[in-house]
Amino acid sequence: MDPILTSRIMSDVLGGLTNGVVYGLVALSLVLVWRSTGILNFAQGAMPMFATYVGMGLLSYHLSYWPCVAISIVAGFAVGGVTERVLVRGLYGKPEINPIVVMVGFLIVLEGAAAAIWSTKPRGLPNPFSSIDYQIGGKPFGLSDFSVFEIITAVAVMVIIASLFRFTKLGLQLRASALSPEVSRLLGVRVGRMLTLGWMLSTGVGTVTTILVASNYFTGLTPQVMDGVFAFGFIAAAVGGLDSPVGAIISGISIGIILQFVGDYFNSNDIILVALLILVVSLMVRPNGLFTRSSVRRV
Amino acid sequence: MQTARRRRLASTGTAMLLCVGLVTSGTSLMSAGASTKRVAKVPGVTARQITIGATVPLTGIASSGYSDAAKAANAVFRYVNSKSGVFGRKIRYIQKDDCYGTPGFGCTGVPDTVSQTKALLSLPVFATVGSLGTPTQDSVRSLLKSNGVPQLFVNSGSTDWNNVGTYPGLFGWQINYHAEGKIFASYIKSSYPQANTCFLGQADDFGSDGLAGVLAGGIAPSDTQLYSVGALVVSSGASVGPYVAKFQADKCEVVVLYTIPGATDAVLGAALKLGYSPHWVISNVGSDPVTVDAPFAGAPFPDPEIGAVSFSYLHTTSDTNNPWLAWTKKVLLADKVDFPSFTATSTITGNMANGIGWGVSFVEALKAAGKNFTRASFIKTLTSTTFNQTPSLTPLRYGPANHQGLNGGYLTIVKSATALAPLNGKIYTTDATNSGPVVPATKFSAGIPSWLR
Repeated sequence: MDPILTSRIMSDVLGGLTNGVVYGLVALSLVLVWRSTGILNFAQGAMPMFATYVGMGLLSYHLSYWPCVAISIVAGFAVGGVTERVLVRGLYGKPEINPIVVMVGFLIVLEGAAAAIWSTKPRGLPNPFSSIDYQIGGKPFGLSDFSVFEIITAVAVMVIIASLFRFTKLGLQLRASALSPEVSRLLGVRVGRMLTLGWMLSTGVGTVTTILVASNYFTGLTPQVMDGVFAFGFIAAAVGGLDSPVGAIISGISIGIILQFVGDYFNSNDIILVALLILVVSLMVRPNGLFTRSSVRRV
Repeated sequence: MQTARRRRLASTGTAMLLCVGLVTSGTSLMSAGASTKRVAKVPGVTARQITIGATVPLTGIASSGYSDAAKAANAVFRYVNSKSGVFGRKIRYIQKDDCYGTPGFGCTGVPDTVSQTKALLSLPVFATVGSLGTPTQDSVRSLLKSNGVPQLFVNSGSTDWNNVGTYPGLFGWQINYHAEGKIFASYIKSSYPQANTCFLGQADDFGSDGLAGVLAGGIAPSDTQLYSVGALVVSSGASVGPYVAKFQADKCEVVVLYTIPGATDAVLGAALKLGYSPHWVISNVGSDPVTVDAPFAGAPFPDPEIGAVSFSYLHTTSDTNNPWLAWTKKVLLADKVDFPSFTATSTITGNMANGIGWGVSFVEALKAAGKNFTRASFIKTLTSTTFNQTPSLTPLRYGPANHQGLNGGYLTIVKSATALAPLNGKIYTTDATNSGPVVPATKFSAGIPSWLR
């Protein structure tokens, strides 16, 4: 019966947090690719969308929800790996505009292909948990079973990725390959495989995000399902710093909460404007991102 | 080096994102003066063929459901072509994807109705028929007029299409949003006389015409909100959530929606999340049950649209006495190009029925125009003929000073995830003026012309 729990502010904080962890996950997947290969992947929303269609499409064949989720994630790994090997490998060392143009093109191809194969009609995903907000004293509390699941899943993915990078030999090899491929190669690290793995991880994280988005936003799974979320995730990654996984997550959550307040207290038609404003101001103040350490160069 | 590269990349990425954002938020205001190709006496018409075209959302936010409308019209044309066409002329229908003028990253068409319309003009086409959208078609009125190309049966209920003085070649087809809003207001006044009514509409003529109709009908919403399509796209529908929360806080008992299906889904989803269930009254163009239910399919709760009241100018599919129902199935079953998986038990969606409606209207107008016609004589025929045998509930009738289209229909109720049913079966008619009363219709459309059967 505590009015604070059902207050407008609390509702905005919780709603923003739920959206923000999703933006944080998208930002994290962008950062993973950037850190491992130095490429800004504009198809970061479309690749997992495609993998999600592959996996969740099996629902039509009476496969149950969780196996479909697992297959989607495996398909995400596969899409990421194949893309790196076939499409991206030849772009390393080329002018930076090249991979951007290629990945924007790939995005259009993937979304077009998904529309041709599965149509643009929204596909409802069975929701494993209730999306109806908890009620306290007859008023909605701002969290539901599904949004709690969403937050737990996002935190779990973040912890797994952080642990992988920090505490495992594989993570060390991934970091070494990204930081200094030549030295890593001399030390016996199979740099090519590490780069592929970076893309696989990134698309796997993206696939988890896509399933959450398609289940929660009542828009279903469509070829464009990740377009808007990608835009906010990109802003989060740029604001937090493309080198900083922690920055990506924190800025994703912050942007989610800020935009929720903008939508509630001003007008939700202004959220694009405010998001772009945050991006522009942050790049003017700290072009490398709020959470990236400044590089020191000895002269 | 690394820092400079990162800055360049961040700047490039930001610039691209800004471009997308600006285009999404902005309105395309382009005028043009494409040169007209003279390839025949009547452009787009030969002895064996008539070429017409349309800009429609085949991809993007509005494609859900709406993409079926033009395809269904094309099924009518294919059916007529299979019966030797109209006076020996086959109808060739070219659909150009304009993504509803709202670019998403994944729009596979050109998200610019002007460019796609110019592409149609270069064919050339005799007319555009059934192009979809209010802001999109507003943006090409001058272009089509300057090229002398009729803009027929615009698939939108805006009153913009009835502007004979400025655009003599422009014709609407379905009942306008203003008239529909008045009929909704009449229903709310009689069924929910004391209810706190609120309104959410699209921030363009669609929403503002609907709101004007509701106001003209005597209902003053206590809370009125207009959503931007751009914000809806970018936020994956989440942008309407705060409006719904406000309606709940304001204790709105009746909520009138002038929303496209994607926005209807987002609204119903947000309300479901909040445990909020007002009485929904949803404009025809945003209420098609099959389209609206799609994202909810498989959910462990009933379709949240069930019980909502809407409006139809066409017979609902539950009306089995309607001879057009069997005819429509026959036509869609015969079209193996656009409806390969349509079977005898498939549902005819509202969007398919819409396309069938104006598709039939076009072929009937073509028949009425005779074997030898020009653009001018076609328009004269259109404005001097009453089409009493179309799939609509009331006859289709234009006049020299009236290019709006249908003016009547009945209230419907969403019965299931696939079906609308008439609420009480009473067909009402009204006009687009604020003072025109809502009255029971006295003239009805009936039967199928023998040559079309």
